[in-house]
Amino acid sequence: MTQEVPRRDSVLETAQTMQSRDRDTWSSSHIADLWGVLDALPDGVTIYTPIYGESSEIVDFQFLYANQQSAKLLKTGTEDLRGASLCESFPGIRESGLFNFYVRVYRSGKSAVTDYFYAYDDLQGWYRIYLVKTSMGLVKVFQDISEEKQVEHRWKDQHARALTLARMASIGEMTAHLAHEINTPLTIISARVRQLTELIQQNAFSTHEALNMAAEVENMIDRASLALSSLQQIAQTGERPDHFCLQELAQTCLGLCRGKFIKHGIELRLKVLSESLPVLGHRAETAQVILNLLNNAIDATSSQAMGKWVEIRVDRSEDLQGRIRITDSGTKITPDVQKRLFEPFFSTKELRFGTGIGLSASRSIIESQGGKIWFDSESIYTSFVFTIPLYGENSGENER
Amino acid sequence: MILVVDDEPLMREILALEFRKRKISYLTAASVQEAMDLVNLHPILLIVSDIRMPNGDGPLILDALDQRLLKQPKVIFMTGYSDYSEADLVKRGALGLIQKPTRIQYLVDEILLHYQTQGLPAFVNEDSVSN
Repeated sequence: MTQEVPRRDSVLETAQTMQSRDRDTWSSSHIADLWGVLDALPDGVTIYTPIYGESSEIVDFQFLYANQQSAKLLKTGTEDLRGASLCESFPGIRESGLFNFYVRVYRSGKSAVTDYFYAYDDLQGWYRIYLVKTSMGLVKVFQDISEEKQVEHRWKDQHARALTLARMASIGEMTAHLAHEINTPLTIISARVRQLTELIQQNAFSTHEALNMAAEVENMIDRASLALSSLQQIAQTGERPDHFCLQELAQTCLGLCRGKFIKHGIELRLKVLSESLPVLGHRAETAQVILNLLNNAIDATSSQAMGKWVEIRVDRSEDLQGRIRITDSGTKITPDVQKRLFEPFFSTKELRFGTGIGLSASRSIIESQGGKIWFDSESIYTSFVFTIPLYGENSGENER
Repeated sequence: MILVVDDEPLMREILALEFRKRKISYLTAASVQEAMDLVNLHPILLIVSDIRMPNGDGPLILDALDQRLLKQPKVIFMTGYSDYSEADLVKRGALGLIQKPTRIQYLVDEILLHYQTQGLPAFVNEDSVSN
């Protein structure tokens, strides 16, 4: 901001002071000065007085005052607005819900702020509206934030696209493992059924042998369904949070990238130190965070000559949150990289290997669930930790 | 002699049963390392190997085969999912790649075909093959 004119805070303060002070101490020149200040503001300022209906409900507002900027923003002249009816000047304001918002603030006397999209014929754009009730009426301060919103939207759009990319990448990596986990049982089932059929046709089977084969087939069917259900757990994105167990989710994720650990000869150390870590949250997104940290750990260790390991520790933190710590034997991250780890689009990997969105996405996922994620610079190895509130803890509720 | 390399015990057993039925001598191994130990001790003519295995992918066999052996075993791979293409494996000296899931009949036929086309004796006893 480069403008040196009085900000809306000071205007609101002045308005409130006017309300609280004895108005007799204000001379008309003071008030004229104040109008001058209001006209110099980059924000629109209008004051409305309520118009009451027969049963003393507010049916409309009347413009008592509009500063020059507000007339500019609303594409009218100030004189046109003074004394005008709000509902007549802006038909549709009732339907939009804005009118009710004004009434609520006026009735409750509680100041409020909202972002609102004006969509009148020649008046289109995002406005941030501050409302405060004073003895003069309802003071509204508003500013055009369309540009800010555009940047925000563009940013969100970009972020969402990068998130999808990151998600696709982790799903792609899982596909290999899943295909193996499903195709192997299918081949075994097919073969066993074939062999069993032959034995029956030749009448050359023992009951024991046949039952064994049938049991193997059942086991393999379970194994394939397990692989599929873990994919479902990870791939479904629910708008609404659901119940899951953090330690089970960690195990599902490990199962999904077990193949990668094997392929790169990385020793996997799983330490589950808590029996039950119930979470009410976003399962798929949380899985994405775990998978992302695991994949980073695999990438960091895979090129080591020997002694490669990744440790996953699942426990309850001192402040009774679910906690997952993923530590790897990879090279330590330098302090200047540490500082930037959670920045969006920051990556130390070659472009084709990473979008640089993983950790930043992880952070928004964890924080949106009331948790925290950080790089543990105290650890002698590379170690990332996240915590997530447990269902039934810290909330005064009993565990269900 | 055929050598089956697979970390999945059931898969080894299933193929073993098929070879037993056809009176083909065979050995099984659970890893590339185990397979290489056997190759150096037995007259193995064909290796049928899985690709994704703990302690090393199947194609490592291609690198590990001792070039000094007089009779090099041929290698055919089978996989549920592979990071390797058949063309690459063939370039590295493999006979081919069989995709899982597949019917056991097809899998065995493919193996036997390779076993025979290598000019190797196929000890197939027609009577023992039933449909």
